[in-house]
Amino acid sequence: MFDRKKYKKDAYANSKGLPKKMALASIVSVFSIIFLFAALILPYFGAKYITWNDEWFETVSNSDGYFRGESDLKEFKDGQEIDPSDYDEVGRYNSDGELVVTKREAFLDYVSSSISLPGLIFFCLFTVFAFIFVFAVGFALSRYVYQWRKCGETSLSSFIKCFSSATWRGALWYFLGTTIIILPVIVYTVVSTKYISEASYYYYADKLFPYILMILDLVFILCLVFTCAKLVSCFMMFYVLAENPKIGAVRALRLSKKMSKGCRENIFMMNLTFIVWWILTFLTLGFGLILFMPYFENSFINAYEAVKKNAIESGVLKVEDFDVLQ
Amino acid sequence: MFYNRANLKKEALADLKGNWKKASLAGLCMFIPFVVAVFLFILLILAKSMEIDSDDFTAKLYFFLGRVLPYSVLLNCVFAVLYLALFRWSSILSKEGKADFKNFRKALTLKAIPAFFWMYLRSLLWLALVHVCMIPISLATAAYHRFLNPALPIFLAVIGGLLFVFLSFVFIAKLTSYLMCFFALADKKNLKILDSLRLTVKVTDGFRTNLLVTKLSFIGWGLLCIITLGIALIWVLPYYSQVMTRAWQFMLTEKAGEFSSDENKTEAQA
Repeated sequence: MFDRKKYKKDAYANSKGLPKKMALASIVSVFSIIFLFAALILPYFGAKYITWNDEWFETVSNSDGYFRGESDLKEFKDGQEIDPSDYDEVGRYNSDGELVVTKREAFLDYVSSSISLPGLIFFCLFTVFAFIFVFAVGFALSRYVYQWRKCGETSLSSFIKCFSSATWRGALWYFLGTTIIILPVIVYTVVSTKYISEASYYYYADKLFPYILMILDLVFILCLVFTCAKLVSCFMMFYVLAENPKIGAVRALRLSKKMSKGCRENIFMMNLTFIVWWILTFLTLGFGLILFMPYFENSFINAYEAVKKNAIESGVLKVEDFDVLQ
Repeated sequence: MFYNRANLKKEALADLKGNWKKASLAGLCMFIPFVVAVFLFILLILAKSMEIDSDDFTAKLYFFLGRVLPYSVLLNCVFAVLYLALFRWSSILSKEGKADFKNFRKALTLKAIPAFFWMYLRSLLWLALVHVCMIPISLATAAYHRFLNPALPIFLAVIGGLLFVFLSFVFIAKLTSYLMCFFALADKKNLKILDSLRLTVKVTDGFRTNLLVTKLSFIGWGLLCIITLGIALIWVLPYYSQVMTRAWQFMLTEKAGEFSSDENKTEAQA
């Protein structure tokens, strides 16, 4: 049986000497996570400084913290009827019936209108690179822990040596493999939300519309389950490559898919049980990884060994499949 | 060996290969009460519900307590007896290689009714635990009305939501283990009900996700049953019970070393 409690229990013993020596390696991974966050957040702040909009500052700074539509700019006479169509792009009506645009709303409106094509391309490339970098760090960490378990090497130089071309190729293929799996869900989400937002405007009184929504939701959940199953089947690639870096990324991906066929739900659940550790890691700005990473990696290495043994015993894979020369 | 639901399904189909006629007879015995239940539901419940005022909540509640609840309790008792008989039939088929309709008829026992109620009570208690998440959520609503600052209500609501997710996981885990008590009773005739509940918790430990996914993998067959107005149940129910029986036996063999003393105890008591 896939005994996750046993693997986690053994991981405590396995990672006994490691945490102190692994601190430097973990700090590198901490910085990689901070880097990922920066990659996701920076373009939003960058847009503010790259394309300077004078109008935005003028319109906001001319009143007492509130931008009352364009009534600050245009002069209206008393009793004059105001055409609401002048204001429907920004702002909302308050309880007194006057149009109010706060600084925040004006800023959000400004940001959403100032996304340019070069900015978008920069954002996408940067995010892709950040993800590949983080995956590479993951591959390197699992390889580092695996090496430590087999040979007892724990110097920082051996960690840096883990960033070989095999690791980067593995990260690239892992990124491609997972992105191809996730892409249909993203496309489905975008298309269905667009359909709902348009259709709800015209067919909100239709009796069948709630049922259509229900079916859309059900299909979404099915997609999500399917995607999770496929994503989990890629997960063992980290440890196939950690055991044997020269095996090649594509072959490692195929092996992990084959070997995790019967126990995908168990691997998924084992990942879920670490969620409290991940929350703690994010609360401590990633520095919790120093304690958490050896435990995490060791328990998954234990799981990998059991899964590999099971795959060989049940005849799904052979011992020769894990050899480099074939 | 790991739990592999594809293998279990293969084994179940191999068991049923020469016995589909007998299996469908047992399935028919499940199907006829099912049809009768649906017709009774339509005639007794929906026809009566036309009389009450739809806006009156208390009338609805008393209607539910008075008519629907006894009816559903009766129905559950009938189906518990039938399910236990079917599972026992399946376990005989998997052990001896063949099982007649006589085995199904003989396996109809009233022991299934208290077993069902104990199982229901235990899972209801775990469901009650899920409602603990309402404490931070109700505090959040109170804080929302008391303070202008939304930070505290948001924090409390997030805590409550996380608690809800965690406790629902616990509830689903417990439910999947308690629902296997019928297979334990089917496997061993003389097992006591409370012992079977204790046994399931031990045996299913480590297999709950697999069991849940195995059950979910029957969604396609369930849809087929809905499309065919339940006729497909005649063949799907024996198949399902065979797969789950195989799963139970697999789990027992995997955990055989861990609590053999317990089993001997219960056997001695019986």
